[in-house]
Amino acid sequence: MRHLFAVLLMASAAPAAAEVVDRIAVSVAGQVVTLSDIRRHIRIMAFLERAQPEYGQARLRQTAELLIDQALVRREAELSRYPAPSIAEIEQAVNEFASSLGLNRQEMFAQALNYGFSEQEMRDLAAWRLTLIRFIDYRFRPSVQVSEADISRYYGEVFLPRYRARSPEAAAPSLVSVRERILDILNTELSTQASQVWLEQTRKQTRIRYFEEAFK
Amino acid sequence: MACALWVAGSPAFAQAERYNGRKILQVLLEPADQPLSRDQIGQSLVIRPGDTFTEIRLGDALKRLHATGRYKDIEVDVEDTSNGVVLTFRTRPAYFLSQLTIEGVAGPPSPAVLNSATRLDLGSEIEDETGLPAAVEGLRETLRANGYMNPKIDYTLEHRTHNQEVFLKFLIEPGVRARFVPPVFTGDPRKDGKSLIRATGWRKWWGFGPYQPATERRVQDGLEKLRSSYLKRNYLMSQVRLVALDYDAGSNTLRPTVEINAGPRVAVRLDGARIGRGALRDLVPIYQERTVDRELLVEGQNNLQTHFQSNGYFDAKVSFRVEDNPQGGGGGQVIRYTIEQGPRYKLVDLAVNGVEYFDIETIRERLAIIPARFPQYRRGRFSRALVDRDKDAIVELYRTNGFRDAKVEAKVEDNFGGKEGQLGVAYVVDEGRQWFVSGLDMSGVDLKLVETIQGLVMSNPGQPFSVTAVATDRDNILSYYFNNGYPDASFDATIRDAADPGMVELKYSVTEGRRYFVRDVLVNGLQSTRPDLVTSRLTVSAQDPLSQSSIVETQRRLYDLGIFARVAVAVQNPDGRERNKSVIMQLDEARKYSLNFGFGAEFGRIGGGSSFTSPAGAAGFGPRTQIGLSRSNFLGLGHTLSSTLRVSNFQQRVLVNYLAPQFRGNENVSLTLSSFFDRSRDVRTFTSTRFENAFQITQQLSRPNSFQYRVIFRDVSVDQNTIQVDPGLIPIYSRPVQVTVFAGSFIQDRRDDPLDSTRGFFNTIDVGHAPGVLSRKTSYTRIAARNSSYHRLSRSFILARTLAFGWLYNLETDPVPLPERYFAGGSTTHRGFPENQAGPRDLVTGFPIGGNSYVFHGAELRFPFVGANLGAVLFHDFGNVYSSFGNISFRYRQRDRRDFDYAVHSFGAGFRVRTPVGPVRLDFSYAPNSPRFVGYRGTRAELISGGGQRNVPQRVNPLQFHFSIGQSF
Repeated sequence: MRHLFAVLLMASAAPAAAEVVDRIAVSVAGQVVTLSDIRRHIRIMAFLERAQPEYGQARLRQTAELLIDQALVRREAELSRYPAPSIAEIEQAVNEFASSLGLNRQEMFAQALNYGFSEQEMRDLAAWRLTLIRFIDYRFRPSVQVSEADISRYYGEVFLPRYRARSPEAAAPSLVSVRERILDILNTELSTQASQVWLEQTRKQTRIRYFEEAFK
Repeated sequence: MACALWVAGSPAFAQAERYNGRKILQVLLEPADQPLSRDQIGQSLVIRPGDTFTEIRLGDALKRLHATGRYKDIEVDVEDTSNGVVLTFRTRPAYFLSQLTIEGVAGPPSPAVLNSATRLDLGSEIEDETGLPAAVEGLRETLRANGYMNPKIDYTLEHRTHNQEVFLKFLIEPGVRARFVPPVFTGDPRKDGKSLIRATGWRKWWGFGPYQPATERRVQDGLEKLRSSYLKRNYLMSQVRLVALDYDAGSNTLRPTVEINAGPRVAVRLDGARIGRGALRDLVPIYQERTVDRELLVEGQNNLQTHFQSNGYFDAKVSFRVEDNPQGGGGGQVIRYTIEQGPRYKLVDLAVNGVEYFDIETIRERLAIIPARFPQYRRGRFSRALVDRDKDAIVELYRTNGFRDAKVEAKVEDNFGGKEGQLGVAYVVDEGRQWFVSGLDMSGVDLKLVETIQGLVMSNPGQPFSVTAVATDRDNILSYYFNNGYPDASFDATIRDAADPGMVELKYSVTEGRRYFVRDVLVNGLQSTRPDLVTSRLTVSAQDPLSQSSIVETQRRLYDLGIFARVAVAVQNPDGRERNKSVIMQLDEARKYSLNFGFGAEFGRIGGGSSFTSPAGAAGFGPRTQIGLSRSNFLGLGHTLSSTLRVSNFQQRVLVNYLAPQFRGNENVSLTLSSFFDRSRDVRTFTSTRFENAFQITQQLSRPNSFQYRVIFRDVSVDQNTIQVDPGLIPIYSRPVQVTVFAGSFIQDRRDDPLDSTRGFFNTIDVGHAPGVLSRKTSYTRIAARNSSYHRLSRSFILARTLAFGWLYNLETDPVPLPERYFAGGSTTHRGFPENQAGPRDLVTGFPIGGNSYVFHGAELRFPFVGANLGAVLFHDFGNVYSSFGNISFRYRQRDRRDFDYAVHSFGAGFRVRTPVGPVRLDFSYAPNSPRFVGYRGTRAELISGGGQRNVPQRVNPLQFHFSIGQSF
């Protein structure tokens, strides 16, 4: 530690050739989103979309908004003490994540490395996705009420048209046989809607400060 | 491919990941003067010279530094060199609110309301760009709500870089407060406009004067008064709503628009029993809630049933029905409660059976039902609801002592003892098994604290188990942590049945969290108070653990000085994760000058004029008035200088007092300097003029014990034209006196309530010496002592007794002049006498001349009489003022009309009405052996010339009454 202090020299001026590599971009109720967080998230999105990351001002702002939402959810999840996913659950989620990209685990890690992400970062990403899903499930799903009329309406207005569009020749499954699936879909939709409403309200109640220098 | 991806970067900033893998040569901070110490920065930054640069670690370092809360903004530069990179953290400090002042507004709104309107918290970070516009808007809204429609709000910010403090001062020019103009009433008010306006109170002089200035309170009060006016006329469903407050800038007026829908009239009728209108309104909640629904009517039904049951109608049944009320307008209703009272009972017996673990008294003192006893509960106190409450109380007592399975049944027996109308209640307790703690496993406690924490735990192995004890353990443990710098400590308890029957295993898990310490104490807001006065009262100091109890104690000590209107305490940067926190104290000094007025009266056997006709006093009425001016925080020392002028029939006094509480920083010592001039006739024998200076130090030894040390310089003269004694004695008795008295008192007060004691004792002893060398015309030593004790004989009966003794030892050959002698008798010493009428009397005029000793004993039985607020007493006082110590006698009979050295007895009764300032007292006494004496009938001139009628037989009236506030002793 002493050696550290010896070199923690209090500079009177920064070196002339220096360039800014990171800074606070947004502060959200005591937490901060850094510029490097935003950039990293852009790269993740690029990795998922197999596209080139784009760091324009609009993209930076759009990503910052997403990360603000994440910060609010993270804070709420911590305050509410929702159980953290176990290692086995994270590993399972990593596998599912890889297969959703059409890759196996090793292929995904290898490609992620090209985007600058280590294996551990990919695990963290999977853990975060799991946490988010659980948060929505625990926090909002219990309050969601799906009626039989909702299920029938969805079956008639959404499920059947989609099914017929996909398989015009096949006989459509009965409502009874797809009821549980529809129920799950509606539950997820309504939970997500509820979480959106919660996010909007929480944003209004939270002091969010943008550091414009980060978005120039 | 990866390289290609990184190329499309944002224009302003370099890509951090470009430097991944480079060696960090230096970590620099700019500016050089940082709010955190090097130690703290070292703990926050995870990046060190020699480390390999990674984007993620840099982000973590930035976040950790920001999480300390001390920085508003941080950005990081990299300088690339051939050997590695140099990182520079450029920081901007955060500023925290240390003082908030708002000037320029004459309330309402009050300073507290304005402070709250800013929504700014002391100690929190002030963000100029977001926090202050919101604060200004909050102030504007509050001011507009109080009639200041166009306030001009400005503010100044004073930054103090050293402690990152910001002092915020709002300067407000509120303008002229808008006035009400005639309101508009819409809807269906069913009343004329004039009566509605009168009801609002928005117009002065009962609706005939000009309109009042508008304030938020007046608006709300006006609406409330309107609602009440409808309630009085049984419009229980009336709706009164403020629709608009329209402002007219030209005339600076506000016109309220109030929508009123009177609704139908609702009448409440009782069949089968009668009850007072006030009681009915208390019992049926539709009056309070101003709406009628079934739930409230059922609640009213239950309340009425409980009311009749607790008045002896234990079988009372109440039902209700709602009928149309043709006289009540459209939709008018009559709510008809039908009461079947049934026979009236008397609760004569209360038994508690099955109790083994506790003694019966422990159970009984928790019971709400009371068997009949005279006079307070002539039929007892009983209702089904009270029985249920008692059952719960007994079960709770058992459960807190480990009887998890305890059950209680109540058996109510009609015609108890074979007598009709008598009732007996028996609680049958099934205690069940007592559960014990077999083991306690505690985790999460720092090894250094284990012993201390274990000392706080009640639920140790072998102890009875109860959820209450576990909750107490939790409270004790968390209190310890909170008071020792662990504000985030948490506690979880797990309870599991053990293998052995009747045993439970406990597991306490403690999460201590981070420990915080005091960095500094920042005191702001002192105008004229000396800083050392405040700092000497602080119980919080730098490097101490951040303790909630110490902060509260400091706040209390500062309030105790009596010079601060507000002592706001906050932790600076409350959400920051820095280990050392500054404690901010914003002190608002109270107004320095206060003026008070008081009016009162004496009523009793006090009057009788100054003639010779009634030496033993006569019923009289003496008004009194008082005016006082105080200057607090004198010289910024926390001392108080006050002056009081008191005028009554019997006394005119000017008093100047200087009080130095917590003298020289010692909380237990106070100094008082007082000086007064008074002319009094409280002793009817003479009028004295007194000039007195006193110097007193009071030392509080412990909570009950204190000493007082006094030096008194007194100059007293008696107006010879007023003295009512034998002219031959006037030269002796009326000598002017100048004395210097050195006195000391010991006071021991162990009463539970000084205003209305029910247990404990009170002892005082006062010794004074007036040496001849420092006094003129007299020299004496004086002792006065008192012992009072209070005993609870039963739940309702209190026995209070007091013994007072005084002895004045004359060191001169001449008698002690009248003003220095003992005069007593009256409401606080001996109720068989009027005020100051006990003891020796002049053998010619019959007026009291005081004595050199006194002994008084009083005994009083205090008990409740009617309801909770009217009590009664039976008392016996005896004793007297005696001519000398040697003449003290407890003899009952008076030998002759010249004998006053005997004990006068008086018996009596009185009433006490409980009030917030102590009981109001009315006592009647009868003294069978009240003194007989001879008096004089004639004028003063006749007395001097030897005329008039002498040896006129007289007697102190055996019947006396006293009216005052506070118990007799």
